[in-house]
Amino acid sequence: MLLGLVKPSSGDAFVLGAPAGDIGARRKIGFLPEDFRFYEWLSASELLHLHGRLAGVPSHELRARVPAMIELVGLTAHRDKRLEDFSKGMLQRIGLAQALIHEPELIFLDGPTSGLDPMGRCLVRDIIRVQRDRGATVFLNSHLLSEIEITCDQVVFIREGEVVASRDLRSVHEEEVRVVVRARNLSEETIAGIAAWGTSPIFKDDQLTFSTSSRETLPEILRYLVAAGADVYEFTPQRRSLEELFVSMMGQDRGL
Amino acid sequence: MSTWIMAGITFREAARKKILWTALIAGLGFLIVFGLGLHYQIVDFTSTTPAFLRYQILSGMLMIGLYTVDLLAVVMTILTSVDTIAGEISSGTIQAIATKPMHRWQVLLGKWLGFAGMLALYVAIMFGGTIAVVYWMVGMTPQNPGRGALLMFLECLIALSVTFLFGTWFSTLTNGVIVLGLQGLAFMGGGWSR
Repeated sequence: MLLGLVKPSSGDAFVLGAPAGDIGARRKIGFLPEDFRFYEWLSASELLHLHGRLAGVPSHELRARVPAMIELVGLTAHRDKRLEDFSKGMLQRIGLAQALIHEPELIFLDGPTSGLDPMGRCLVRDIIRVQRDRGATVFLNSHLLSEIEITCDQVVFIREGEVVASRDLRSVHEEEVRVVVRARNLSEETIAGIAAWGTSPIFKDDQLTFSTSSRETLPEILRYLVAAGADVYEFTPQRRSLEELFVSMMGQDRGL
Repeated sequence: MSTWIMAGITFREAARKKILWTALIAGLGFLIVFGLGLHYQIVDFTSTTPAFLRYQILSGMLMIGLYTVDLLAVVMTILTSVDTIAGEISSGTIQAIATKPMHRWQVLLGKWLGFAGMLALYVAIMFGGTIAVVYWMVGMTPQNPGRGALLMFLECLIALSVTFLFGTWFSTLTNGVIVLGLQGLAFMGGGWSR
């Protein structure tokens, strides 16, 4: 809808200060569709040239920019190969290159790392960081939450078209921290006392688990346990992974 | 500008995917067969065959030749363009194109112009070829050949436009069935009206 592919049934949306789908705004937007397909009879260079021209980049600029972009996505050795001979990962890379060829301000990437090997994923992450440092805003749409956790500054969870939650991934210190403690000689009073810093603790098989609202409370809690005479073998703060957060927010798999 | 880029890529697609070359080679094959038929017909004439009968037979053969070219041109129009919109919508190829800074009509018009260019070339070669074969062998030319060629080209453009129109709504197969069906109706309708 923001790219003008689908018309809204009601309401308005604005992208880069212009109504969604506006031609002028689209000049500043890069887009990699989830299942990127293109004229397979074109070579990698020809494809980028075509997309660059359609995005409004003059031919003389593309002469330098196309090889640089192919280099960036690691396909220099395959620049003259037709796309019909490309693997899914290679298509994904050239798809990413076509989304960036006109140096857009806003970039929508729909599942850019699907189909890529670990090296390819690393490359995509690096490219996204370069775009961010250049001043572009990158929307990364993915179900690979570990990728989002590593790459993004902010995350928004959407269920059935509605924003369920959003989170700033840079402010890790603000988040709730789950702590796993392995200790002996813990009295029931000591365990109950932990509730002062966080949620009710659970103690099972020498393992104590509780959550606290801030990482800043951790030294204090450890000092409290030691002072109460506990023999602490392990004290591990665990940040709740996005995946856990996702599951807790979305509930059970409903086959969506 | 974007319209012309789309037109260029569509024309290149036809050339690169060998559609254009296959159609032209098949067309050349038709011209050879047509020339051979004409040759054997001329051989069949005896010294007693009256001139008006010769003229009628030869002009009849020219008409059959042009009729076949007409049918070939329209069928080729439909077969080559039936997948261009519907196929790209179903494969998702259109997504990366339609989000570029251009209007939808520019995508469609560009593709339309690309096909129109290709069809102009095809009609010119086939129509001109058939007339040239007849002229070369018997020195006969039809009346208003330019007008005839333009009418044939117009017919192709109508078939192209209808194929494009239905291609935006239906799948490749459905589109093909509808447009070929309509072509059949038009063919019969044209015959009846005469």
